[in-house]
Amino acid sequence: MVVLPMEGLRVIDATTSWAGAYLTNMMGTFGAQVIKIEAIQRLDLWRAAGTFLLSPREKLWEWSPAWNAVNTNKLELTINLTNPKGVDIFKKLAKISDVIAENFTPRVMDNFGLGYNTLQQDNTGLVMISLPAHGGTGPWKDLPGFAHPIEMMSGLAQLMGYPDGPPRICGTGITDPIAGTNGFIAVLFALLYRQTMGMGQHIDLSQVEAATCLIGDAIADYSVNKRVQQRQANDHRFMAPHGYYRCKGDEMWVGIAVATDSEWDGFCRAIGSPSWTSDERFSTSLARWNHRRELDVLVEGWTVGHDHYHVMNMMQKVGVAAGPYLTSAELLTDPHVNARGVFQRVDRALVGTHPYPVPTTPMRLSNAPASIMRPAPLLGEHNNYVLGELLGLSSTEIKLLEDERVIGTVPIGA
Amino acid sequence: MADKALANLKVLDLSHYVAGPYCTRILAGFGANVIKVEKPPGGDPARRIGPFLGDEPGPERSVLFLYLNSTKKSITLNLKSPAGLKIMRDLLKDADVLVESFKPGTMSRLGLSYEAVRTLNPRLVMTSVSNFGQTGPYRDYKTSHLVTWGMGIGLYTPDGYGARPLQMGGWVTHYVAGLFAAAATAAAVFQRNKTDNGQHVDTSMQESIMMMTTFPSVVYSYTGLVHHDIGGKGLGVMTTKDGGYIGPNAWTRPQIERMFALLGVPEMAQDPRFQESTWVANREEAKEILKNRIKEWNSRELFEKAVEWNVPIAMLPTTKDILESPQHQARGFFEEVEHPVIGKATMPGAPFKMMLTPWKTESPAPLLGQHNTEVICNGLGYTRDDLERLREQGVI
Repeated sequence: MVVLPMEGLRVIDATTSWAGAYLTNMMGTFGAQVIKIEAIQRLDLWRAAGTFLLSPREKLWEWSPAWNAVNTNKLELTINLTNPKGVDIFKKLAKISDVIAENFTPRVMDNFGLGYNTLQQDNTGLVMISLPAHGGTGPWKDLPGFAHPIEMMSGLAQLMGYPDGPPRICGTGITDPIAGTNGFIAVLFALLYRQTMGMGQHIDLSQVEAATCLIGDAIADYSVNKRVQQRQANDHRFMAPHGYYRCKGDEMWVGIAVATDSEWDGFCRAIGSPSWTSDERFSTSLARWNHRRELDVLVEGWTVGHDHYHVMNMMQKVGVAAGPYLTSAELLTDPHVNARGVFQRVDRALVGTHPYPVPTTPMRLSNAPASIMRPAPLLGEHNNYVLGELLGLSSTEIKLLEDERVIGTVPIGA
Repeated sequence: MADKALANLKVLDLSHYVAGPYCTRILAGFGANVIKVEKPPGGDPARRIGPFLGDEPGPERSVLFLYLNSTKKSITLNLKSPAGLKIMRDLLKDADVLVESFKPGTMSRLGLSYEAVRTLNPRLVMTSVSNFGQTGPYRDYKTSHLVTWGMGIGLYTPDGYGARPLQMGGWVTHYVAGLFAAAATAAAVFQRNKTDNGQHVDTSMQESIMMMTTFPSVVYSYTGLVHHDIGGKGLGVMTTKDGGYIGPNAWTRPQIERMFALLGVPEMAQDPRFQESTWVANREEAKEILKNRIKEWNSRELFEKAVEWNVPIAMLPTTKDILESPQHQARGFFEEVEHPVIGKATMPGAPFKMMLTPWKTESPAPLLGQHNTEVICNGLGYTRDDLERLREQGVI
């Protein structure tokens, strides 16, 4: 029988949005029991993500494609942490948990009386990770931030865009999963330490810092050479042709990157060696780079007549790096993505069956075949299980909590 | 002395370029003993990639290599020679982790497939980082940062319909793959410690970058809307009086209202066009008004005001601004290393702060083969004479 690496661990996910939810999503997929915490007074704002694209419907809070994608393999408990009874439940749960993840601005957990030092008193092995935008200390610690400002503040945006245009963000909220993945590493390191030493610890993860680490070379470049690296659009330091070229079809593009002379020869042969390929301007790698704008136009003159998959296949056959700029729809049908099983179709109450990404996809462990074992939970779906089975509350006590709106399954005001 | 989270974790690092080395940089910073095994004579090709000190290439002058390889040891080993392979196999016997980033199939040809190394050391975790993973139809395809970015991120452009897609700058696809490789390695070691059983880890760069935005595909399944129909709620980037940039990013209603007030247009909060239900539809009009307000400010002043008012308005710092950031400085985010050739360099340190087991950079990136004697003689019992012979035979 397969035992997943994190089986036997209990994780409280007190985060909102995507970063922390992705961190705990990976843990759940590796076998941990993850309990997501929300309050009927204050839903995870990520439940709104993408819902503006849907027609009005009942229980819209259950329909966010983004929330449902990143909360698979979790249970869900609603508790109102502004009520002392809610705080008490949280403390009891923390006592029997291994990991807590939260991403409030730094003062919030302490204000609830749920800071790490308090919680650790009853559970010395507890690992807690806080992942606010700017970290838990420093003059900007209380500044809230979501994906886009973090991408801007991290420096990533300054390096994206055209040299003569403004910086830009990639638009996917990339810093959230970057922070989530760093958080996963941090928690695992803390658990590895606990395996030998027994002690838990607190982790302070600044989402900005985690992202800035991905341009550490550019920062060191300034430190060493006093050079501020500039935006390069789709250019490469030495490759040409290098870029996204328009293909046949609506909004279809292909990425092509030619590195060496032999790759250039292959490229020319593949497209049938039209006369311009033997032009003096493109005769050497340096000449091609110096005339890259003219080259781009000519390359696109060819790609625009072809399907982007067709271009990839032709180029790969002759040893040139090329691949379609996959649309959100194509990612679901791409032969390689499907052969590797990145998405899994899962049925969920209300929304029906849809494909969701297996969150641990880039971490294929030969002894731990991961999958989506349960869809994202409904609001408060596991209140009875968590409060009754795990914490031993009676049904009368649970009913009272419902009546007092400490817990519930319908948002207040819905 | 502070503890190390990964004390006693011995890592053999056959990886090169950026992804694998970023994985082992994180392991090394939290205490693993990382031995980088480089191919003679040139070593890790990242040594030949800029930026270089003073823009002058040289194997010990790459700033990229400097950043990625702090705290590691370097030995050189020609794995195609029987003597080199023997040393590698001896080192593997008491290693915990092997990281490699060759093209799929290369390790098998070297006699170092997972099945082969498992017979030497069943507790070993072997982490393979590759472009498209160890299986599947694109397994052997070539790629680059730009190509991978396009095949993973899912066209989701704030520039709107018709605009040419753009890559993200730098090496982000490689770094993200390195992150997942580190995460996977940690998970595999955690499991190994319980079962005493090693395993093989397969990390694909394409899949790593896919995880940076998978929900547009879920949106497509729910709604039939593709990438360029969905866009974001963001307000984009706006220019300030001093030529800097500001990104107004308020999201929740209270933040939005504080942002209007801060920018001197509190009346927008009452404007029927900019209410919770209408705000998204009228985003362009809101942008126009905010743009004109933001033009009146210098970027740093506006940002500092935003910190004071608790509004998520972002600055867009350059690498120079980042090094000078009071937040980073207060948190001790940067560390200075002193490299024998490059000299002093300041760079990001810990990606996250662990309270009991802090990050520590023990040494700058190693010189090529700097630790041959230490690892091969002291570690495996070869003599100095052996080492000299191996050098002449091109093994090290």
